[in-house]
Amino acid sequence: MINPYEVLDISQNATKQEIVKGKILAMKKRKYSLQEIQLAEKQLLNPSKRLIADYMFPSKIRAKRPKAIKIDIKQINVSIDEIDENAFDSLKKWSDE
Amino acid sequence: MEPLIIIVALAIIGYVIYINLSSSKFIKADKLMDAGKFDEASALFKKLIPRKSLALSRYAECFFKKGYGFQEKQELGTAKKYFEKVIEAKEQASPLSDLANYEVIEARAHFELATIFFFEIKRKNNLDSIKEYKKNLSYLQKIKDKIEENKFNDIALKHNHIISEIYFAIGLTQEKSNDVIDAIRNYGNAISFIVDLPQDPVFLNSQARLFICKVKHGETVHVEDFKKYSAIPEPVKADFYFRYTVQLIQQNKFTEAEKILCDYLNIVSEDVDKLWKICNAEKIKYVIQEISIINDRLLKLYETENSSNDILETYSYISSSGKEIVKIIPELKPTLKEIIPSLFNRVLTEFHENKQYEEIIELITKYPEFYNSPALLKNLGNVCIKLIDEGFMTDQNYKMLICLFLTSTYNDSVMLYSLKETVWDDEYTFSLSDSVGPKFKDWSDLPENVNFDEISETNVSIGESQRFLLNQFECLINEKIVETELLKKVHTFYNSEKNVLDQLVGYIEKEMVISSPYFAQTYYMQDDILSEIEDFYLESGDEEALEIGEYYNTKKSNSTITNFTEAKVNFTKLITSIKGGDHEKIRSALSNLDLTLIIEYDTISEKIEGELVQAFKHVIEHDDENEELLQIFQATIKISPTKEKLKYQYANYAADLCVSKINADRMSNYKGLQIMLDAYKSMPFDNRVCRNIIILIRMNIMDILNDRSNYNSEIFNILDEIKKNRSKTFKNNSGELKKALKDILSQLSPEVIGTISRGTNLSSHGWNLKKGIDYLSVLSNME
Repeated sequence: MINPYEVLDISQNATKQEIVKGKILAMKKRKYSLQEIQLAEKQLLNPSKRLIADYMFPSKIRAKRPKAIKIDIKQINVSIDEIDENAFDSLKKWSDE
Repeated sequence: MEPLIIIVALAIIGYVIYINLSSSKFIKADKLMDAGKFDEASALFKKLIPRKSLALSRYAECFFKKGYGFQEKQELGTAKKYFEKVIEAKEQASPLSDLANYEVIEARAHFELATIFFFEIKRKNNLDSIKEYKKNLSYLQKIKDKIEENKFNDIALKHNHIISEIYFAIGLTQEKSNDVIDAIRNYGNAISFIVDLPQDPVFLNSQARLFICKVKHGETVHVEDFKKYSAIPEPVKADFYFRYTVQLIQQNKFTEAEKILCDYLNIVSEDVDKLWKICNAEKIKYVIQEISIINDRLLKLYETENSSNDILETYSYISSSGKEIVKIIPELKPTLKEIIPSLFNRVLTEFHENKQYEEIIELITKYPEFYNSPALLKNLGNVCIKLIDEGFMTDQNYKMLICLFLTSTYNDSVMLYSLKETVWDDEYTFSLSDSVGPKFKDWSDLPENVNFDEISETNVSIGESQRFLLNQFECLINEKIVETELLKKVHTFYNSEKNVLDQLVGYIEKEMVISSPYFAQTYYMQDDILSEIEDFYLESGDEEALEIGEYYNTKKSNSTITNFTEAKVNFTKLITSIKGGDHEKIRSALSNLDLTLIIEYDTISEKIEGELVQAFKHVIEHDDENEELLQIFQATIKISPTKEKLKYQYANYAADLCVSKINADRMSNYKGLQIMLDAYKSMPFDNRVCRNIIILIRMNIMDILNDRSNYNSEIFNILDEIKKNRSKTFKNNSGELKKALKDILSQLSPEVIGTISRGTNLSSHGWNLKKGIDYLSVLSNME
């Protein structure tokens, strides 16, 4: 499956004129066969088929350019390293026995 | 010759004396042993070993019993000596000795020796004795089959328990010296020896210490596993949960840490309060750090060159880190939510440029609610086409590719989105009038150049494009899949999914995302579709909608579609049980299945009678004289909404059965009349049924008149019932009864007839004759 827009080297928003012009340039470049170029032009001039060609383009979801995140919270200066992990040490139970 | 005979005779006599002498000695030795005189008995048995097969085992038994006596007196050293003698006795065995008998005693001696040894090791109370216990245990294992199972299990358990205790003690010593790695190993060993005793304190303590040591060592533990040991003492539990919470905070798992604090450390303690404070402080610290990392990554992403991997890594990092941040500061959710789409687009674009189509599918299908985005559905659709075009449809992915493509194509919103994305210079408008998607009552956000008008040169059909796309997909499948088996599977699956969608679109009125059955099941999209289908059914009564609903219904709960499926399943079970011919199963199907459901649905109920008739036909072909089938017929006639064919089949079966059995003297006339009465009630206008019941009426009356029946009153009751319900067909066929009446009367004198008609002073026989004549007269009356 060849993308007709690629064959004619035109954008997705190309006008009719640009499609015809694209065809002439593509023929000069000879990157694709004459049959492929004609098929691409025919496809893009037929609105139903052009819809298919458009469907094959990748689409993006709505997005904004991300900005740096700002937050206003104060850090509290205590650390988990300050905790005594042995606070509930149950090993003593067996030391006592 | 004679001297030779004498010699042989003498030899025989000698042998007999020799044997008799041995036997008496053996008896004497036995008595000595029973009397506890083991030394004398053993001396005697020893001498008999070459001559008596059981002497060896008795000889050994003397030592065993002696040893056992000493063992009971706790003179273990002497006991051991005698048990060892049992084992040494084997050396005395003669070719005649019964070794099997001896080995039983030998095994018991081994067992007692092992038991004595066990207590000797235990007395040492030594942490190094594990090896000795294990050795003793493996020694016992060798004789396991020759000793009682209970005895073996008991001593083996004692060994395992004490080994476990020692391992636990070693573990404790190691843990106290901060050697947690070895402690973990030894607690594990302790557990392995008493896995069958989950409530044993050694087992529970070992488990608790194992969990605690793992946390001390920084290993990840599963708290759910710890919770299973509810009998662990509370202080030990608190120790574990405290350490575990510290570990969770260190791993930035704050939500889990808070949950443990709430659920398991809900106690008054300064240390717990401190842990709460630290948890909160660490949370804030974590958020500040993470946001700083995210900001750095974003900066790098938009200000420098990045590889695909960099972008993907940043996307994955921010996605997962964002979830954690939001758990701590929910207010940041909108800010983080705004970042994700942009990064997602970057990754998507990279994948498209590198033709990483499988990665695109994975990326998109993991994006939250991707199915609600026409842009993402469009990507999925075109990526599926591209993958197939490149020959990547396989046995593993064909279902996914097909369901993604079809879902993309059948949602008109996807084509509309595609339209929105492009700007053509022509003045075209587009029509949804023949699109493949559902015809919603209302469309939100319908583009200005889209309508529902007729198709023309300038009003372009969106449906045509969609059908062209479907056609292109089908052509690609046929062109690119070489493997015949796979192609067959792909065709079947594609057609099934597509057919369902083709029908489904007719039932959807509310604007929503529709999906193929496989897509719906994979991404849990069934609910909205099912609710639309049910609404459609309730409005239209169209059961085809329910058939389509079944493709989406995975719910067990009570719903119209579930009931419809149950009705179908129950009906199929009933038909299958009838065809199977097992009356027990049929009865069970009739009584256990909810068959009331089946008549609620036209598509099922209209098939009931036909299928039942076929099922009975199948059974009758194999078994045409089964009276039990009559009840099954009657029960199914009650269920079937239409009954005529079934009744006809039943009545004829009953008639055939009666004729065949009565003619062969395997059924009484009375029984036949009973059966035919039911058949007649079902089919009172059937000629054959009427003829047969009339014959049986005549035969039963004749039986009464000839004193051949024991059921006179029952027969009269049946005749009364028939008298009240004579059909026209019955009357037309009643000539036979008239003839019977005429025959009887012709044999009676006028006086007898007179007496009978007066009905006075009649004997019981006379009464029966009168009643028989009366019934024949009434039942043969054509009026």
